[in-house]
Amino acid sequence: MKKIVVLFLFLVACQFAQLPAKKIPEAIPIYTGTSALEASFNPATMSNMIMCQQSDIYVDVKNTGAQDIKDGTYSFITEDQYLTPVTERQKKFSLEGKSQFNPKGGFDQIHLRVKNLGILPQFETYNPEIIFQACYKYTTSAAAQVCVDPDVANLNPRKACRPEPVLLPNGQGAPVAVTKIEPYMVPEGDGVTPVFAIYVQNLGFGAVVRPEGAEAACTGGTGLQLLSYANVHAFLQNKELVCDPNPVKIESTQERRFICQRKEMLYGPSAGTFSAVLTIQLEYGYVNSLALPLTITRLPGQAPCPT
Amino acid sequence: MPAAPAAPPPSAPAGGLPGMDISQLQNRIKKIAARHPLWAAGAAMKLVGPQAMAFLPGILADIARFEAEMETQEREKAAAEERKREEERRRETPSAPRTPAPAPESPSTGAGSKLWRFSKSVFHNTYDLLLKPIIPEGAYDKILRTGLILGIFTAMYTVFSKLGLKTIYNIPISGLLVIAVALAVYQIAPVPVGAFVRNLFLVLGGIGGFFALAMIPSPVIYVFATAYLVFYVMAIYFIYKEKKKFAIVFVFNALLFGMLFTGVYIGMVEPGSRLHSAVLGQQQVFNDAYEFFGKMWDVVWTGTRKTYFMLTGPYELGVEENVQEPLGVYLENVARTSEFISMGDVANVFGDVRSHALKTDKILWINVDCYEEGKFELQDKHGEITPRKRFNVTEGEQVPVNCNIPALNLGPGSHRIALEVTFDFQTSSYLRGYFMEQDQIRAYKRQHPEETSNPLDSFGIADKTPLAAYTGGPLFVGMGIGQQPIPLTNEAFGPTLTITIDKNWPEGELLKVNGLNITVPPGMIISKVSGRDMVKSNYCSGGGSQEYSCLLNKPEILDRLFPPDEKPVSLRKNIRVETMITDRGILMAKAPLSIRSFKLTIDYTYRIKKAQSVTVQQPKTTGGMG
Repeated sequence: MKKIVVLFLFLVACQFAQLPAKKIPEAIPIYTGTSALEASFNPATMSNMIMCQQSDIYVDVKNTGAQDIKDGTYSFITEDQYLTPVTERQKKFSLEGKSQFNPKGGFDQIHLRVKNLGILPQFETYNPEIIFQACYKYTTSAAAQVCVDPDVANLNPRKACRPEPVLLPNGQGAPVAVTKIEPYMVPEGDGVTPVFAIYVQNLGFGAVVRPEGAEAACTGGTGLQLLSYANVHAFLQNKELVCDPNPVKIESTQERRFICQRKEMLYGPSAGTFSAVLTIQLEYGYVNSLALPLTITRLPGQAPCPT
Repeated sequence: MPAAPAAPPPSAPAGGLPGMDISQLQNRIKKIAARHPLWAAGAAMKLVGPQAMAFLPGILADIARFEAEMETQEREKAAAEERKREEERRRETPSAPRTPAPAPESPSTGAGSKLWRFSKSVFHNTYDLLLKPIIPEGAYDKILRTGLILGIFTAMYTVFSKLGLKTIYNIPISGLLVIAVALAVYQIAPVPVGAFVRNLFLVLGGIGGFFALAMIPSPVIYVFATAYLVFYVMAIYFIYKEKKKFAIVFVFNALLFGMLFTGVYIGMVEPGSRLHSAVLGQQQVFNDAYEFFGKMWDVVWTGTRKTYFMLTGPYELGVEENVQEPLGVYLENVARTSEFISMGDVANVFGDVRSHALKTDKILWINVDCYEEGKFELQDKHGEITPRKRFNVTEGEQVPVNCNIPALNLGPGSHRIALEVTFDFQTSSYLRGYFMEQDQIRAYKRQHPEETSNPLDSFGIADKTPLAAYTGGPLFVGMGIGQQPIPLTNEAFGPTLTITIDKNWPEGELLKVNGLNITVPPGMIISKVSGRDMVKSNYCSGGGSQEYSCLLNKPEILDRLFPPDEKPVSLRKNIRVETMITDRGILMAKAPLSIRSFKLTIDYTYRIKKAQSVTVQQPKTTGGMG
């Protein structure tokens, strides 16, 4: 009997013991940040080279943005009178963006081998620069809860929400960020038409070009395609809004604003005040550039390079 | 005025002087005694003698004459004092209306007069600013005169001492001479003698002091000598405020000092004597000072003219590569074996030709010459160069050279022997240019209207306004291509390259340009060089995917750019190189930005020279009978 009581007490005690916490994987913030492709010269790069010799240039590229890069183009600009590329200096590339399965984004290493053709007589050194450029299409996808409130007279004191500006300070995992959304309820007959003022800015370290100019920016193209404009798409309740201006100019020094609305989207008092998700998509081309100073040294008494 | 010995007062004559007031006569004689003591004493003796009456008419006549003379002198003195006061009043109130001067001191007008007035005003203003606050009013004359007398005393003492006079004799002799000068300067001595001695000493004092200073063994003697000269000129100015006398004394001094450089004194003094050495030493000191200030002036002048050219443009800039490491051929350690040589001897000047980093595999040929400065055309004034007149050097070599000129060829006196090195040299330069399509530049500017925006910012380029880099050596080679990035338009015209050639060393001369090799990037050609068509010429080669170069080494083109009658070549020189774009694809290499270099190599002949003074002494003259 005693044994049964002890066993019972043991079992009861076990009931109160804390169970080990269940490990639920944390959601990795994907759509945050203001970077896309991050490029840097690998320390293994031979930035000091001897006259007439070859040098290997390594560039580490990783896509820390939320979108994948497809059919991007990279290009090396060299001073051809001194450095001639041995390997291909212009190529297409693709790089996966951040995702739940690849939280750090895709990584790659680009290699270029250059050969020095000599330097001017009497000079001991020459310091050319190698410029690396990566050009690719990118998309910013932003979503925000906005309030649609047909009660412009504010008759209902207990509304589900109020149309107030929405700030998005941390970016959306892309260099061009939607920074603020201002909802306006424009009276139209008995109802209202929601109008959204959307603010965007280039918060990355590169330059924006039109999406169709993404390749040309690295291959020497010219024209309007290289202007800093992004195509805009905005959706509310799965209906695309009309945005103006579109494409919108993107700058790095200041925010630019565009307005999105849909005339047919009319909400009467019967619709009530409700929250909805406003989705914004910005499509653009993006260019990352970085320069590497090289030093070419002539050895004492070194003869000119053989042609 | 100094006190004159008092004459004995005449007492009443024994027989008395009828109709004469004795005391009045005594007073009149006393007044005259101050100026003519000997006469007064004699007159007094005569009046007390038995024949006083016989002498009386003569004495009275003398008294009347002396009194008239004294009255005239008093009037002149009063007038002079009045003039002096008037002058002082005028100086104190320069803006006050001037009273007409009794007599214009200098009637000269025009530029010379203006220059004189300007110099005088500068002198007065300097005096008012610097000396007046520290020297009491009216004391400067005395201070300067005292300083001058002490200077002359020091000079004489030093000269006599150096000449071998023992101190025990030197001090009284110098002292006596200086007392004489002092008496003269302070106008104690009788008027004609005093004035003569004073003027004589003021004329000779300067050069005497100069000789004394020359004998002081100090490496910075010229500083003292120059200070003495300035002080001396100031002193004589203040003593002779009247222009004409100052000008005369100044001109005499200028002549005496000027003769220092002509060897006149050397001929006047015994060769080998201390004074002879002093004169030669002084000449050397002045030559050294001249060279020292000349070098300083060269540096200042080089900087000033560069700034002037930059301001008045075009003057393209450049950065010298490896400034720390000298590049080129240098003439170093130039000296002479003997400063004084006799007529039968040989003047020997030597030095080292040193080739610093040449940065070229070419053998460098050096030509050495030596000659008496200013007499290059005379063949007998050229010396023999040993061991070789022409030789070659490679990097880091040092070759000693000697120059021997027979003294007989030079002749007696002082001579400047120039050791000259002529060599061919090369200077290279490049300028980096960033090329972009003009549309792209304009688009960027439209989107970035800020004043400081530059399309090169988007490529991460730090040096957005690159300067030409040139190798060191005698010549400076700057290049400019205009605003960067260089815009490419739809037209074939390319950018114009401006080349500036100037002296990089303060010393030496560009004798001749032997060749100019201008290279432009692939995809471009040179259409004109300073207006001369290059497309149809046969100076240029390359093109297509290769660099395009024009080698201008023929006289027909070089003579146009560097006229042969300009020898040495007058610098700075600007050369304009017009270009054309032949293949935009090659130039841009399918990239939004193209980095390309313009290159220049100039081959030239440069000359540097350094001089040394050598004095050929005349043989000692053997005079006397038999």
